[in-house]
Amino acid sequence: MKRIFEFIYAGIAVRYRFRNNSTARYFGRCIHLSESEDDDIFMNDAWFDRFRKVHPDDVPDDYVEYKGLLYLTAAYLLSYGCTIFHSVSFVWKEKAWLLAGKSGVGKTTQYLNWKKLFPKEIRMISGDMPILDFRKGRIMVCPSPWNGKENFKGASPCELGGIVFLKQGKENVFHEADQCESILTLFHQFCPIPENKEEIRILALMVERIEKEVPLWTFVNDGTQESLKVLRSAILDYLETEEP
Amino acid sequence: MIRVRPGIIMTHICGRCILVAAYEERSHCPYTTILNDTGEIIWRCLSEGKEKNEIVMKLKEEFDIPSDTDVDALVREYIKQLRDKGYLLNEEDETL
Repeated sequence: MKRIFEFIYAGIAVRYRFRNNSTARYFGRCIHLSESEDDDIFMNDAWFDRFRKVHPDDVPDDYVEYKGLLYLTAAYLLSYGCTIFHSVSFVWKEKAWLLAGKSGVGKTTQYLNWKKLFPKEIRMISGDMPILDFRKGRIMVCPSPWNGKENFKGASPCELGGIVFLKQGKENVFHEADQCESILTLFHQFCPIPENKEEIRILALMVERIEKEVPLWTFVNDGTQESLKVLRSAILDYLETEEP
Repeated sequence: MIRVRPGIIMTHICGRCILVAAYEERSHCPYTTILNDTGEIIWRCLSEGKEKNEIVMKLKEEFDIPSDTDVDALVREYIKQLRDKGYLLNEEDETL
């Protein structure tokens, strides 16, 4: 009989029936066996085959399952008013900041730059896939078991302060994000692959809340430590003007 | 008859009209596209099964269009763009 494992996301218990019991190891120390016999999420053959096809043959099945469960979990959490958002997330000045953008755009580089230049002032929430929790009057950012190849993980949940969309360039230019572009980028950074009208409706509501409640910026940058100073200084300016 | 691809959902965010493709459709067309006001009306009409000449009439009703504007050509071009992006079904899709 397959065992049921439980993981808590932003206070929501999600029960998994893994195809491989060894998949649990990727979820770290916070996953535990459930007394329940019912699961919330099980990756069926069709889903597994979809993910198996996009991984090289030498990637073990349990890792493929762990990676694929990201999307099933993100979709499952939608009905609770939460989901997963592709970004590097960290706490600074008591707010959570997200660095978003396509893979390889330099999200981790900017985090490492920050950590190197100002080592004591930021704390990582998730290195790759934080949970965004929209259930209360504010948007909270919470850790998840998907933390990228560097496996950066850490801090407890924190209120979202703002999102920076990173783009690679030869200069360092920080500006308010264009609304049309940010709407589309936000949609693309959300992990659920919406399968129906209801899931799209919920994602659209989440995008709208982000648009209305937090600042969104675009930062074209060259990935250097100098660029990090520009980024930090720009957010600092924003915080100073926002303070009552 | 021009048919929109099933699984394309029109939604609004901050007053902007957006087409979003549900999972199975994402291999046929972009995941998201923003429509302008004209595009929104054209998409609505297509979703209701209206033909091109009906869409032209609808646009003339909705907008104060100068008389020398070739609305027919505008609609034809917009439909072509939607078809090229994969948001409309082609004849070969229909026969599958």
